[in-house]
Amino acid sequence: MTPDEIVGAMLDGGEAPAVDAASRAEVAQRLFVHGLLVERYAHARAVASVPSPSRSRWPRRVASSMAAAVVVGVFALVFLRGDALPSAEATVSRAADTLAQPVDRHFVSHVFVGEERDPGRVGPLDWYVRADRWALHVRHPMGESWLVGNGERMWWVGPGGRVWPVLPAIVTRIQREIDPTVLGGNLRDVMRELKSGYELTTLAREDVKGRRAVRIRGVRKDASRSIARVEAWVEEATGLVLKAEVRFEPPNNAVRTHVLEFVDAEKRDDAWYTPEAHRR
Amino acid sequence: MEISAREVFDILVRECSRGLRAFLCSAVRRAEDAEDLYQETLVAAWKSLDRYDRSRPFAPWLRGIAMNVASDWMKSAARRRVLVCDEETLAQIGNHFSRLDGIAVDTWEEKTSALRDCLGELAGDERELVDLRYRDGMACESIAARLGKQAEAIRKRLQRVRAQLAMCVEGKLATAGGAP
Repeated sequence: MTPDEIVGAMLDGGEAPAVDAASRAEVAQRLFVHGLLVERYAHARAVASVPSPSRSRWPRRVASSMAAAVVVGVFALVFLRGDALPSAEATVSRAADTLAQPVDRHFVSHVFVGEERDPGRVGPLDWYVRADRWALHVRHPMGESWLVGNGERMWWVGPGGRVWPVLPAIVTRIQREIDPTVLGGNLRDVMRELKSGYELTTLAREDVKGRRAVRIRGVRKDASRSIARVEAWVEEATGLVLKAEVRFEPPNNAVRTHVLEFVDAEKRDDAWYTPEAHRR
Repeated sequence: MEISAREVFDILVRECSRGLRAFLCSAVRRAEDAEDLYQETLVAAWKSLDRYDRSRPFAPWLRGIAMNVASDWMKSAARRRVLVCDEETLAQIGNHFSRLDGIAVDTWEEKTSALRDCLGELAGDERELVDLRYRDGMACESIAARLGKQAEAIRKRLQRVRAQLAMCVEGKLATAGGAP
C-alpha cells in the first residue's frame, strides 16, 4: 500500500494497517495534517455552539432549525431595534478575542486598597499587551520592576536589573513584597476568566472619552475565585476594553481594586516583550 | 491574590490546549476520541507537575505526557482500537508539532496559518470534500451518496487531497522557519 492508501485505510475505512518504516515519514505527515484539520473544525464548532440568552427562550414547539431561523428573523425585525444592548456573554467573548489579536496595546492601572479605596503602595502600573505577550511596569516601594510574559513563561526583572524566571517562590515574593494582586491584573486573563463561573450582566451604553461602549458587570458565582467582581466598558465598534474595574479579594489580605484604562495602541518592537529589554 | 500551582498550570494548559488537542486528533479518527486522551493527559500532567523543568517550554513536555498516555492505551486491547497509528509514527507526528512550536508567533491560529492558506488554495470540489469529511463528520459512504459517486472514488479523492494539503503545509512551514 502507498502511504496515502495506508492513511486512507486508517482514517476512512476499517482496520488500521501496520506502517512499514519506509512509509512512516509520509504517513506521519498526512496524519499531522489530519490532526490539524480535525482540531480546526472541532474548535470552529465549539465556538459556534456558544449559547446566547435569546436562544434559550425559544418555545419548544419550534422543532426544525429552519423554522427557528424564521422565528429569529421575525423576532429581530419586529422586536429588536438597532439600539438593543448586546448580551454580556457576547461582549466578554468579543473583548477576549480583541485582546487576543496581535496588536500592541497599552493600559494604565491604578491599584486601590480596601473598601475606602485608599491609594495603594503600588502604581500606577503600565500594562503592555500583544496577544499572549505582555510586559508590566511596576512602581513600588522597593523601586521599579518589570514583569514580562508570553503564553508559556514569565520573568521578573527586579529593581537591580537582574532577570528571574518566575517560579512559585518568586510569585510568593512578589505577592509579599510588592502586592498580592499585581500579577492578576492582566486584562486578557481577566476577560478569559469571566467566560465561566461568573454571573454576567449588561448594564448600559456609556461614553468613555467620547467612544461608545457597553458596560458589563461580572460577579463570581463561588468564593474560590480571586476576582470577585469586574465592571468593564467595551467599545461597541471594536470590542476593545476601554476601561475596567477589577475587584480582587485576596485571602488574608485587604480588598484591592484595579482600575485599568486604555492608553494607546502604539506599535512596539518585538523586543519590548522580552525581559532583556527592561534590564538596567 | 494567591496564585496557586493549579492556577499557573491552568494558564499554561489553556495556552497549549489547541496544539495538544490537534496532536491527539492526529492519532484517532474522530475528535470525540481525542477528548478522552486529552483529559487523561491533563490528569497525568498535573500529577507529574513537580517533575516539569520550568526552564523548558511547556508544550513539548505536555506532548510527551500525551505520548505516554497514548502508549498506555496501545497496551489495552479495548482502547487500542481508538488509535490509528503506532508509537513510532506518533513520535514522528510529534516532530511536526515541534516545528509549529518553533514558529515565533503568539496564537495557535497564527501557528496554523499554513493550513488555513492551503485550504484556501484547494479547488471548490476539493474544499467541499474536506468540509463534508471534517466539518460535518461524514463517512466516505455518506459523502458518496450525497455527491452521487462511488465510495471508493471518494476515499481515493480524499487521499489525494490530504496528500496535497500535506505537501502544501510542508512547503509553507519550510519557508516560515518551521523547518525540521
